[in-house]
Amino acid sequence: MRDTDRPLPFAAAARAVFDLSLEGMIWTRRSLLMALLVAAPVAFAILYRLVLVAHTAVRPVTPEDLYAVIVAMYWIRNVLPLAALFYATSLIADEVEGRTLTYLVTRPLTRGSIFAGKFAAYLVTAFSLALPAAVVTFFLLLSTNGWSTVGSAAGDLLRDLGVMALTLVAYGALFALLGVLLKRPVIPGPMRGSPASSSRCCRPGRAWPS
Amino acid sequence: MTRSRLAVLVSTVVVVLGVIAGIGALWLNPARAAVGPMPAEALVLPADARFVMGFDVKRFTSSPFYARYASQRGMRPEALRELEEKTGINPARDVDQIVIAGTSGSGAGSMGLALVTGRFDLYKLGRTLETEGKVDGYNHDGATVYAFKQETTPAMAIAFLDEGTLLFGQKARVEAAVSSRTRGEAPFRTNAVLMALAEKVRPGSTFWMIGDQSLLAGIPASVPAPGGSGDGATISLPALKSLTVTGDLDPQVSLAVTGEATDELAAKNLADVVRGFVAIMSLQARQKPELSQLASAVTVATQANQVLVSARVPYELLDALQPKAEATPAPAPAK
Repeated sequence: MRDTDRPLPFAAAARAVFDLSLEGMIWTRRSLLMALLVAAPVAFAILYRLVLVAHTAVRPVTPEDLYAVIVAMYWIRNVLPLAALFYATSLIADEVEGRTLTYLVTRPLTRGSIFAGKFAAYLVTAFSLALPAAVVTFFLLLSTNGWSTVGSAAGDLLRDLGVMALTLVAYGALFALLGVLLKRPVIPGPMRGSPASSSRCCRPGRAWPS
Repeated sequence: MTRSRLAVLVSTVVVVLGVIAGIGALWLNPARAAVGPMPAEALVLPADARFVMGFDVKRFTSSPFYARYASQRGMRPEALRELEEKTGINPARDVDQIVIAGTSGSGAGSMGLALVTGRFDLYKLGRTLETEGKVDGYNHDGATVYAFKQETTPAMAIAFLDEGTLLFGQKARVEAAVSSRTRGEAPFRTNAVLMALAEKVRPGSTFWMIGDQSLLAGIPASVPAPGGSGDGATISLPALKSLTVTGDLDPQVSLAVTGEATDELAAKNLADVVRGFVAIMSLQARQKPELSQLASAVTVATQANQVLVSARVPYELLDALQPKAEATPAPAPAK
C-alpha cells in the first residue's frame, strides 16, 4: 500500500498531469486557431500546385525555394513562436486564473511533476499540429518536379522537422518561464530576441533564396 | 481511446509515413550513389581529369530559357532535327545529362571523355553508325564500341555501356573507361581534389563545372587594367587553387562562381579585381541603361580564402540585352 504522506513518484505524477492537460489542450478553440495558422501553407501548397504550376509556364519561385521560405520565414520565425507563446504561457497561468492551481498543489504531486506533465502535453499538442503540416507541405511542393527531387531533398525534411521541434521546445521553455514569472506574459512574448528570429539563422537545409 | 489521443495518433501516423516515404525516396533515388551532381555512371571517367562539367538536359529543356530561346539560331534546332532523323535520338526527349571530363594534354587531346545518360535505341543508333560506314564496330570488355575511321589524332570512339549510357571521346580513354566499368572500378573516385569539389556542388544544378589547380594554371596571370588607356597597365591575378561554377535557368538565369585562392589576402585581391570589372560595366551603363541592371545583378563576396561571384539575371533583362531586330526599311516611294 502506498504511503499517502509521500508524493507520487515523479514519472507517474507527470503522466497523470500530462493525460489531464492533453485532454484540455487539443480540442480547444485555441488549438483550432493554431491548426488553421500552422496548416495554412498546406492550402498554399495545393494552390501552388493547382494554379501556378498548371497554368503558368514561368514560375515566379521554385518549389524548393518556396518550401524553404515557408519553413524558415513562416513557421520557424513567426508561427511556431506564436504557437509556443499561446500554449506555453498559459500552462500555469490558466490554472492560476481559473483558481484550479490550488487543487493541483494539494494533491500528492510535486511541483516539478506538474510542470513537466503540462510541458509534455504542450509539446505533444504543438508537434501534432506543426509536424504533419510540414510533412504534407514538403511532399506537395517538392513532388512538383517529380520524385527524384523528393529523394534528394529528403534529408532536408528530416532536418526541418528537427529544427521545428527544437523551435517549439526552446520557445516553449522560454514562454513557460515567462508564464510562471509574469502576470501578463503574452505582452513581452512578441518582443522576443532569440537567434531564431534572425533571418540569417535557421535556414533549413538549403541556400537562402534571395 | 479519447479524441485527443486519436488526434495525436493520426498526426503521428502522418509524420511517420512522411518520414518513411522521404527515406524511401532517398533510398530509391538513382542519384544516391552519385557524387554531388555527378551520376554514379560518371565515376568511370578518368582519374587524371583536370576539370569536369555537367549539363542537365532535362532541366535545360524544361526551363523558361529553352522555352524563350529554343527557336533562335544559336540553339540549332535544325541540327538536332537532323540528329534525330539519323539516329533516333531526340536530345530534348532522350538525353538526361551530359558529363564531360577534360584531361591533361594539349589541343584536341585535352578533351577527355563525355558521358551521356538518357534513353537510347541502341539498335537504331548502331545501325545508323554502321550504315554510314564511318565507324568500325567491335566488342570491348562486353560493351559495343564504334571507332571512327577518320584519321583524326587522337582516334575517337563511342561506346554503348547500356541502353541508358553512352561514352564518347578518345578511343583509348573510351576503352579504358569501359574496362573500368566491367571490372567494377570507379577511377574518378581516386581524384581526391575533384571528388571533394563535386561533393560541394548542389545536386540539381542545370549546369556546373569544377576545375582543379592544373586547369587554372593555364589562365593568364595578369589582365589589362580596367580603364587602362593603352599604356600597357596590367593587374596581376592571384592564383586560384580550384574553381566551381554552377548555374540554373529557372526561375531566372543564375550563376554562382566560387574560386578558392591560396589565402585570404589573395581572395580579397581577386574579389577587388572582379568588383573593378563590375564597376566598369556600371560606367558603361551610361550608354546602355540595361547594363546597369546587369551590373547590379552581379554580387562579389569573399569568405576566408574563397571568392564568391553570383549573378541573377531575370529574363526581362536578357530580353533587353538581345540585339534589336533591324527595322524593315520603308519601301521607296514609287516614282
